[in-house]
Amino acid sequence: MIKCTKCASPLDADIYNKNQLSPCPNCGVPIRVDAFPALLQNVTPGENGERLILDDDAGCYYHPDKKAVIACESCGRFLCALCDLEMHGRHLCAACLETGTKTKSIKTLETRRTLYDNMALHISIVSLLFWFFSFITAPVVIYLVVRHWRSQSSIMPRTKIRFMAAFLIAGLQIAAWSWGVYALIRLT
Amino acid sequence: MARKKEYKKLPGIKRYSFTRQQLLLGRDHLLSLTTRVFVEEYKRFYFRDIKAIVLRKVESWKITIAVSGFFSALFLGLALLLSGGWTIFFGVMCVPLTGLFIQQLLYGTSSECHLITAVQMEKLPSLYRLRTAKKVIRRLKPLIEEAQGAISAESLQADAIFLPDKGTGGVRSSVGLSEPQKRLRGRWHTAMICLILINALVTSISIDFHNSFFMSLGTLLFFCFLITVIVSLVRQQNSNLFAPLRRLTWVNLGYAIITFVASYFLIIYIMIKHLGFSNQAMQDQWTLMAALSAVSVRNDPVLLSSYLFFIVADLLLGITGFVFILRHRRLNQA
Repeated sequence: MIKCTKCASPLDADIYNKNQLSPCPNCGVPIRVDAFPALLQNVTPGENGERLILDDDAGCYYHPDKKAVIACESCGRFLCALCDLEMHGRHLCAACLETGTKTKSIKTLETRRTLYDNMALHISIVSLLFWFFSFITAPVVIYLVVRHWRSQSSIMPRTKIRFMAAFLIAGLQIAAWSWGVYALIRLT
Repeated sequence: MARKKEYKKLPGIKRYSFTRQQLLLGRDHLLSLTTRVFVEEYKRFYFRDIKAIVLRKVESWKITIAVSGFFSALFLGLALLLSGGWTIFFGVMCVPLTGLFIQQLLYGTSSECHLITAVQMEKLPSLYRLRTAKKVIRRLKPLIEEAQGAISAESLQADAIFLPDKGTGGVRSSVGLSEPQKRLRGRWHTAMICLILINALVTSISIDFHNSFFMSLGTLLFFCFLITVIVSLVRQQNSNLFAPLRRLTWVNLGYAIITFVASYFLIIYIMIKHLGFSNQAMQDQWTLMAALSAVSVRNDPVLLSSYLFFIVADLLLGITGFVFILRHRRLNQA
């Protein structure tokens, strides 16, 4: 049963799917519950692999005494019901799932991305305030821009404007430093 | 040819100092996107796994409106009363608070939205305004129903008998809600209400007898009141306390903070208007208090009106709390 998100008391089913706020029976706070059929379904327990009975049956790669029911769609290894991991219609083994997570080849398992364009732009802007450190930060920014120009950025499509701005600022800073050093050499 | 967008932005963005939270709509799932300066973090909620969306109205916007409104009025008043640099100072202080006040009024009622799946109960921070949350739910509902099928309120009521206390509610959620309630007699709440009523009495006496004794007594009562409010707030967690009394304790905390800040500004006001920031008056705390208590409340309209405001607020909160305490005791006995 769904509980009130404030007082934790169970909410009566008669306030579900009313499309309007109704008072919680315990604390009286206006609450709206939109329930879906998944609420009435129990979580299905995982299956155990079936033992091999016939010699003709193929065994699981990880559990040779268990009957293989499917092949991994990534590496082709035979898997028993226990080892078969279904990911949005794809059947994978645990090793491929782990590799997919690490290499980010399974997009639906991706949980974070580093925004190098934001990083480059922030560093270049901050270095405008602490200009003396720009002789270090400017090459770092140039490296970030060149190295990660083609790297994946935000999950929402965005332009390369941040990279361009960071590159421009860093380029100008390097030019300014070069001119300063040149002027100093000329002076001495 | 333009690339087809994988995600569509949904209304509502919650901004913290270095973090931004928003919802994106995918083909078969909802994506909660959290951006922390250089990093984006994703949480996916597949339409076929969503069990329920719980939307709750919260009153935090009213508190923001009350506090920002009170202080913008106070600063505006001080800016109009005083002259020279003080007018500019209080005028500048008034501007952002007035902006906040107007913004809160325009954005409207605040809310808290939770999404429930078989294994989690996730708060959706970007849906912190009722209007936006309703808009997003209106957009999500058909998509979830397309993935799972629709369920009517009637059939849910019919099935409610066998709704198990597992999965949804049984899962210890991120908001930690499933602890058993403890029975509370409300002695600290009673003490808090008694103190606020005594404070009203002392404040009304000190209008005519404005001296060091009553000022010290008032300060002592205020700090005792603040302690009882904090203890009451701690004790009322997961208790069976009468809900309006619980809310009143939070109101008392807000009132205590307002009183504290307002008293501070009143002292500044007295120092500017009556003592002229003289060094002699500010030698130490006792000398300052003696100088402050020498000021006649009746002869100063600002002081008199603020004292009257405190008396009325004290009485209002005290009497309401007293009624709530009685109702809580009656309910407890029943």
